[in-house]
Amino acid sequence: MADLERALRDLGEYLDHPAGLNLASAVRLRLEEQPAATRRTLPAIPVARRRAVLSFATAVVVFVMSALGFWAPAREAVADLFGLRGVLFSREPSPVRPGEGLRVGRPVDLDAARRGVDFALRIPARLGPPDAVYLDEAAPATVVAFVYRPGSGRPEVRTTGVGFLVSQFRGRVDAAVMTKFLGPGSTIEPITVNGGRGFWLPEPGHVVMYLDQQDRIQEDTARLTANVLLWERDGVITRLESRLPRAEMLAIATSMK
Amino acid sequence: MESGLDEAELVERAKAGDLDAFERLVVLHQRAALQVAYVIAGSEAEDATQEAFVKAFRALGRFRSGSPFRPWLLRIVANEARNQRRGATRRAGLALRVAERPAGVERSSEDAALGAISRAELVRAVSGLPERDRLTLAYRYFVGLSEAEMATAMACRPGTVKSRLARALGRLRQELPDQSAARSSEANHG
Repeated sequence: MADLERALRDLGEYLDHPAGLNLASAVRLRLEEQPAATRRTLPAIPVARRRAVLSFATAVVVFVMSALGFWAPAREAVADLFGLRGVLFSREPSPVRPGEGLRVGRPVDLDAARRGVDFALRIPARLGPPDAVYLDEAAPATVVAFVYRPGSGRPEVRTTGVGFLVSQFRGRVDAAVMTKFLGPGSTIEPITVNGGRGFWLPEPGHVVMYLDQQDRIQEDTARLTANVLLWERDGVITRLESRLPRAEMLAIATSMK
Repeated sequence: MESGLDEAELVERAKAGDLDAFERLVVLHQRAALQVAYVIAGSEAEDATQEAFVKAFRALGRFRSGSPFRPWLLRIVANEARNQRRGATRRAGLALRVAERPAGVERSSEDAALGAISRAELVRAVSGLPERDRLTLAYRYFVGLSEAEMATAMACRPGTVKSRLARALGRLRQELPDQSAARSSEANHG
């Protein structure tokens, strides 16, 4: 019986259930979006169905807007129908700031981000200046996030509108702490980056544990369902998240010297 | 938010509507919640777990301060997983699977050697058990609840937990291939 019980405990580590990536963020979003008074009347929609409905709705909107763009009479007729004559339909990129919704803090400019931390921010030379900068002073350690839109060499991460995310904050990595809290199915590979101790966490990444300046354990959920490369140097942790493979992530990391 | 808060403090803050505190509770318990949801709802586990956490937050007002949070939460998770498990999953039966690698940490060869019981055989056997047996085993061995915590999660007396556990293990053994025969066969071929 002892063997069977031991085997069962071992099996719990290997169950192939979803890793629960960003589950905390998803739950929080649900709680923030739906006021308590109305929540009870709304039936729960499975994640898969929500994604399917969203994809279909997006496809319909994209199709209609494309048709309007190509066939002016139809565009004007629909504009009339909705009382929108005079409104210009534009093909310019969405004005929405990339990274909104990722809960990475408040948007700031680069100078404000530099003033907000007591260490030197590094910009990946291979990516250039970020499309958006965020400062999260509510986090246990103040975090600066650089967000890049999807583009050439930066595939979009799911439907986030984000192609690459760089986070920098004061902290220390510890192999034992990092591995203890990894989710099922997650793996971790020690790696040296720019002379600092680092880790490669291929998707599915998970909760990232680190030590703050007082050596207290802190947890932080990777913001994207993506590959994660992080390292520590001079008491600063840099975390990269994207869909790029290890070699390309390392090349970008190296350009942050 | 500050670190170093214990779970009871996080629960109290969450009860007062602090979403940061509740988010940390989700991080602390999501793995256990997913394991429980998985043995009931299979591929629906993620939806069930997310829904359960949302419901748990709304139900925090009914949580008795000072009592263990995890069994209370897992009871909600199990109920939600039952709700989610419908349609195709139910008709097709539950086929739990094992991952190729565990949660990130390389296992030693000693850990990997589990006698004659392979993980594949074991997960097949667990899949074939009635739902209540699967849940009983998950609470005890996957999540590591104590018998007292199991009693809370299963809304039964501690004595009932013991008997349910013994029955679940007994049925599991019946579902497994004859291990002594397997060992003997291996010895003959080795």
